[in-house]
Amino acid sequence: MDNDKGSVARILYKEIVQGDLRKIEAQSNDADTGGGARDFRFGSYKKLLPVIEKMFPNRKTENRKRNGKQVEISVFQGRFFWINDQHETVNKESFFEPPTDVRPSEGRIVRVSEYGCFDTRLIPIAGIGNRVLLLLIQLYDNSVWPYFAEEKTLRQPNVWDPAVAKELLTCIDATRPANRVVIGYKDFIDGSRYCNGN
Amino acid sequence: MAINVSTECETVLKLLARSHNVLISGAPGTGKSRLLAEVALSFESGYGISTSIAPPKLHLQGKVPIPPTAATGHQDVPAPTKTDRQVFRTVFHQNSKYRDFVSGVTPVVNKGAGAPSFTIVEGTLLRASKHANTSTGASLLIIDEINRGPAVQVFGGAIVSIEADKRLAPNGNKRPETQFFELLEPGSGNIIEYALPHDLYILAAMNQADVSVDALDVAFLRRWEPLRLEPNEQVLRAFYGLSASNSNALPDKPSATEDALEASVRAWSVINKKISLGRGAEFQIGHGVLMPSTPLHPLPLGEVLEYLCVGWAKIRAHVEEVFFGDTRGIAATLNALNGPSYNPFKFVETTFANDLRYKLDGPDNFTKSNIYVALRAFSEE
Repeated sequence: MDNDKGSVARILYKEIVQGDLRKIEAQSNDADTGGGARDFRFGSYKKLLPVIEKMFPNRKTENRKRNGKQVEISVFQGRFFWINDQHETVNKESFFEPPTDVRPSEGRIVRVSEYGCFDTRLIPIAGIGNRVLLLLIQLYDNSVWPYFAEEKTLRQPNVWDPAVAKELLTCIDATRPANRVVIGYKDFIDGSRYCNGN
Repeated sequence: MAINVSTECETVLKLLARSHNVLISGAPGTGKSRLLAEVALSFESGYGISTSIAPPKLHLQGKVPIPPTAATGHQDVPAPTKTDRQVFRTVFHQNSKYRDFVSGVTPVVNKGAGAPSFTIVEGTLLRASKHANTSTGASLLIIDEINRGPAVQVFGGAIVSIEADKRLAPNGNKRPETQFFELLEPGSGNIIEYALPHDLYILAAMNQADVSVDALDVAFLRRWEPLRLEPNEQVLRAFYGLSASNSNALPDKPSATEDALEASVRAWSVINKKISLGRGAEFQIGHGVLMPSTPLHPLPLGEVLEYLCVGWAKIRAHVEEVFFGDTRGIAATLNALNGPSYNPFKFVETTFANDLRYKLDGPDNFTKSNIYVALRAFSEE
């Protein structure tokens, strides 16, 4: 239906921190950021799973090295859409890998440096009082569009859709340990939500 | 404005934006409760748009991917720029107190050893005000049955501060016209001066025809923008799936669902006219009393007649209540004075102790076998 065009079904969000930026720029190989893999890590994997399964609806078998051995694992597969520099809509297969034994609560979007939508030029500069969130926005037609949101624009009246701004700000303002990044989702169709703070 | 928001809801939002305090009144069954619920949903979800009706939209080329939709920039809605929108609800009753609504001292239940025996509670108005005082907050306070409680006492000193021009400025600062009142502050226990914030909106509802309550005083009422809901025949016709008007004579016996529903609409309309004449327009009965939760027009005739019995039992009880002690009034409303001979209700004059007495003979209850003929008789003018 035309009325549904562009309608947002759900949003999965995660705070972007310095370690994530280094991932995209392919400069990171420290243990704190999960080694040299070019991926965005999402804690609270089990809580996010209902939305991950909707945004990455297919399964694909991939070979991975675990404990020094090649093993086959099943990864979630979907497709990211974005607008490129030439204002054209492009898309590319996307993958979300389930947790490893080493990091059992973290899933991850892999090979982020290969996607134009994660270009560091598009990422706002974070700072104190201005956290930056990666948004995976799924529309009614099931397409998934990655975008970034910065806290200061979310707090400005009439800039963001109020329902979206309220949801993201509620989670940003929630209480959580200092070393935990903001992660959550909101499903506008069934009303379900998750935020990793209290 | 938003798709699927009723005209009445749009009107209320506009009145709230303009006057901050709106008082909905109307006969029972005119849709006051439905409207309160619709306005609450519209207010809370922002700009009159429920996310369940109109979800956020992705704007592919914009700097902000999910901006407010065009409708969200509408200025005829309360607090269009506030994102943290909350609805607070209360119902007034004979035992409603200033303490419950503003603030006051109350005993502590299950207190620990050595803990204070009393505490200061934060009433609904104060909680709504505090929320509306935050930078992104806006509050809608819904007071149902406002005339069932001692409204003037419950508002206390706050009554002087509720008018839009007596509030604080939108930025929370004091204005020359801002009216302060004293209250017991829950945090400190001190008496403080307090003014109501700009983005606190109060929506109240009442049924003026409630015979068990006193009328609200004029000084209280003038602080509210009134909105009156009237019984609406077209709403009932649309619900029944009937045409907007029909002047054909009703058949002696119903041959289809439509005959029974048409008789019901006409009878309801005529009875409301008679109530207006005999008792006053505010005592009419609304269309909602004949609108069950399931649509009637697809049902077979027998089931429809059963549903009509339920609705018409309420209408009969309403007529008997508003004309209590006036048998001639009840008889006239049910068309039993000089009505058709087939009316199952008969007005009877008799004597008792050499004195003239009136009574209304008729069926104890409406049934499938008598409801249609009764409605047909009621509908004759």
